Formats: sequence, structure tokens, C-alpha cells
Amino acid sequence: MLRKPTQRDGVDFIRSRPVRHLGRIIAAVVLIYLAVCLIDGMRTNSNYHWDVVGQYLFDVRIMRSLVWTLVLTVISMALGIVLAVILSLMRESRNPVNSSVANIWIWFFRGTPVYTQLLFWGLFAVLYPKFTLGLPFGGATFLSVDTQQFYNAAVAAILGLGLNESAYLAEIFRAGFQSIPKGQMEAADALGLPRRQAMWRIILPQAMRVIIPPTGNEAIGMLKTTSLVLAVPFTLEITYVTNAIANRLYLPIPLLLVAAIWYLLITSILMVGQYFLEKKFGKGVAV
Amino acid sequence: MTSVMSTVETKPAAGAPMVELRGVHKFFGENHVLKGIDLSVGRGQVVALIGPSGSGKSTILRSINMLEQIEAGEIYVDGQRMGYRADAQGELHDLTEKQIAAQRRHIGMVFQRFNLFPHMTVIENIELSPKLTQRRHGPALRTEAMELLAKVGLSEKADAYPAQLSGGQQQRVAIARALALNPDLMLFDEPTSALDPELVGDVLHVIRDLAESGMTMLIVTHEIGFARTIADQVLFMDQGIIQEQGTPDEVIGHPKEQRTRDFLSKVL
Repeated sequence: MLRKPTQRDGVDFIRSRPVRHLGRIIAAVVLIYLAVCLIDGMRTNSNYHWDVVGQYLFDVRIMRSLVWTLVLTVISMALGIVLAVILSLMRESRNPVNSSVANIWIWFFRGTPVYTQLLFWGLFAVLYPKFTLGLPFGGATFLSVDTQQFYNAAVAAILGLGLNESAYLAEIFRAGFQSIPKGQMEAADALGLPRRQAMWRIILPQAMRVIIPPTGNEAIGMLKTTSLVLAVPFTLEITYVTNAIANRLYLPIPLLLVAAIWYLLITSILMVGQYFLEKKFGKGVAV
Repeated sequence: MTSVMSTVETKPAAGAPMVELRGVHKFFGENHVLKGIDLSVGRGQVVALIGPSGSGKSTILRSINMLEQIEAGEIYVDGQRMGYRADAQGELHDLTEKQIAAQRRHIGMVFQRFNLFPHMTVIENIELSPKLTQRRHGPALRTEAMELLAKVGLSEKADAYPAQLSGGQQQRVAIARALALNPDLMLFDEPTSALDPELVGDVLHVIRDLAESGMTMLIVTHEIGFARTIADQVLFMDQGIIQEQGTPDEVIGHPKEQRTRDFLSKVL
């Protein structure tokens, strides 16, 4: 611990004995004891099969599934963000159709389990074998294709994750936009800035400060939610792949550890990214 | 009717007042805040609006650049009808957001709470509107922005963020920012009300310089002494009506209305 200075410029600082917090010390000792037990147990308990963990950690199948997990996370998140921006603009619309559609969308996707939604998207091609664009009530048809031509498990997984995410992000974005004082938009208006420029240059950069931390949480949540896409069924991401290997080896624990290690690693990387984003958009905040 | 029909680009007849309000009414829900305001401000004139809080002074300013939408009446700035255009049959149409933005660029506004953009430096705040609306950039713009900053006495703060400045400094930056588009008219909405007393003087000094340079200005203020020395015309407002208007000497020095006298006795 750093020693406090005892004097400066000839002024003697107060010297006193700090209060001893016995409870805190006991708690710390107990925690250290438990941590040592845990680590030692993990090291010596052969049921962990650390050798198997080491053997499969960089296995080519695991690597491939890791790439798929990342692809699902990034694309679903991107889809969610784009939709959420549109939704939060629609909600502010003075046209009641626009705002109602946005509200119903959010109500539906927040109100049903993502697992259910993924099952539904998995059955989409069964539900709609042909995809047709035209006028309702048997009117003209502009476009008609077999759903199978553009629809597969990956698309279903991304739609399921992205649409569900958009509902949550829309709420976060709205909170972000509402956190900006009214005077900012008024100042932009008074300067004669076009609305779009004002949103882009004034409101959004400031809202980002409020939006980024919970969106970072959502990104981490998305990474882990990708483990549910077996509902589609999409079978190339890491939870499914490690599980399949484990079932063949009759060794569930080490493969779970492999998956957990990779999830933790990616989460850590995402957190570092979030730190830098927060720093970038924290400009001009009073210290 | 030509002035009503004219679009944003058309120049008005010379000698027309810079600002003209005719029978302006504004409601906030049930609350009737402006009850038929008629007002004319000549080129280069400085008009001070005084009166108790809630009397509608700020609402007049905010209506002129359409931060508030009026329910009835007409507002002209530099001969142009604000917010509407009339077609050949004389029917009114709302202006688009783009057209309204273009009209606002002729008007600079300074707010009570400064409303600087906190994520931009001082110089970025000033350069933003010429950059975005006139597509200007580079050293010429920088020189001009620095000149404005020098005018308000803050050359050394170009790269500071608003949060690093005192209230008075922020308000002077806000004035420089409002001047960046070379407005024909400046609106000051209680520019010193949010300031510590010792910071008021610097801001008033900048406003006074601006008045002396011939800028047309409307100032809502509680600084009666300042209004008296700077204004060509003083309007006393109460309950949504201009109760009394005239030279500073008439309205502040020798008020005729009882309401004006009551108000002045409280604030002087």
C-alpha cells in the first residue's frame, strides 16, 4: 500500500491509527481459503480430464464451430441494431401506424421466449413453402420463389436471434435518445441544421454514451444465446459441437470446459472492445 | 401579398422591418400564453423584452424561429413569412423541414442554458453549422471561427470542451456559434439568467459590442439596467400581452402603466 505523505510545505499532516475492520479481514481470509481449495480441487480431481480439454481446445471442429458462433453473434447483433434504430425512429413517429407497428413488434418479440421464436423460424419453410409478393385477396403477383432457395438453418438462426434482439435494443436506444436534454435538439434547430444531420452529429454521439454499456451487455448475452439455435436446428455452433463430441466420448465435463473457456475468452475480448468504445464516446464529459 | 408568396430566396423590399409580428397567438394546451402580439423591429434596432416570468417573453423569441408553433397570426423575418408559404390562390402550406431550417439560418439564437454541444470542442461547436449547411471547411473557415472566438474574448479556449469552461465562457462561445452563419437577426433568451453574478458582465459586454456593430437584436432579460442602456426600444410584457412599449426612458424611466411600475419596483 502507498504510504500517505506526512507533511508538505512545512505543514504536518494529521497522524492517526485507522480503525481495524475485523469482519472484513475474516471474510477475506475465508474467501482466500475457499479459492485455494477450489483451484486445488480442480487441479487434482481427475474427473475434470484436463488432458482431454487440452486435446480438444484447438481441435479443428471446435475452431470451425467457434467461427460459426462468432458469425451468428455478429450478424444477428448487426441485424438487431439496424432494426432497433428503425424501430426507435418509428416509435417517435407522429403517424400512429408507424408507432403502433413498432410497439406491437416490441411487445411480441419481448413477450415470447427466444427458444420458441427459434423453433418457429426453423419451421418457417414448412409454414411458407413458397414466398410470394403480390396484392392480397388474390390480386396480381410480383414475385414468387421457393422458400428453400434462400432459406436455410443459418438464415433461420440469424432471423430468430436478430429479431428478438431488436426488441430489446429498441428499448435501450429509446432510453439513450431520451437521456439527451431537449436543449440540444433546439440548439441544432436554431442553427438551421437539417434534422438528419442533427440526429447524426448531435444526438446520436451523445446518446451512444448511454447506449453502449447495455448494448455491450446485449452483445455478450447474444454470444451465449447462440447456444440455443439447436432449436432451429442449427448444429454448427460451439455448444452443439462440443456436446456432440462429448456424447461420443462419454466425457461431458471436459468438453463443457472447452466451450466455457472459449465463451469466456470471447466475452473478455468484447469487454475490451466496449471499454474503448466507451472511451471514444465519453469525450467532453465533465470530470 | 407578394411577401407572403415569396420563397426563402426572394429578397424583400428595402426598408421593410427586420422582424414583424401581427396578431400572434400561442396556446400551451389550455394556457393562452401569447394574446395577440403585434411587434415591429427595424433593421439594426435593439429591442429588450422585460416582464415577470411566465409573461410570454421567451415564447415570442421561440416563436420567431419556430421552436414553438404559433396558433394564429403572422411572423415575418426580413419580409419572409416564417413557417408557411401561400400558393397562387392564397392558401397556406406548411414549409418542409428543409425550408424551415433554411429560414432559421438567417436567425441566431442564444439560450439561457447555453446548449453547447458537449461532445465537441469550442471550435468544433462554432464551425459545425457552416460546415454542415454551407459545405465549408478548411483554413478559411478556421480563420473565421477563430475571429469570432476572438470577438468574444476566448481565443485561447478553442480546443477546450464546454464542460471545461465557466458558465460565462460557455455563453460567449454560444454567441460566437450563433454568429457563425452571419445571421441578420439575433435572439437572446435570458442570456445571463443562469450565470453566477460575477460572470454576467463579460457576456453583457459581448452583447453590447454586437449591438454597436449594428446587429438587429431581440433580448429577453431580467437585467433592467442593461436593457435601459442597450435597447432602442423596451417592451414590458405581462400575461401574454405587451402592456407598454417605448424608449427605455419612457418604459423604465417613466412607466405609465401601473403593472409596469409594480414590476419595476420589485426588480430594481
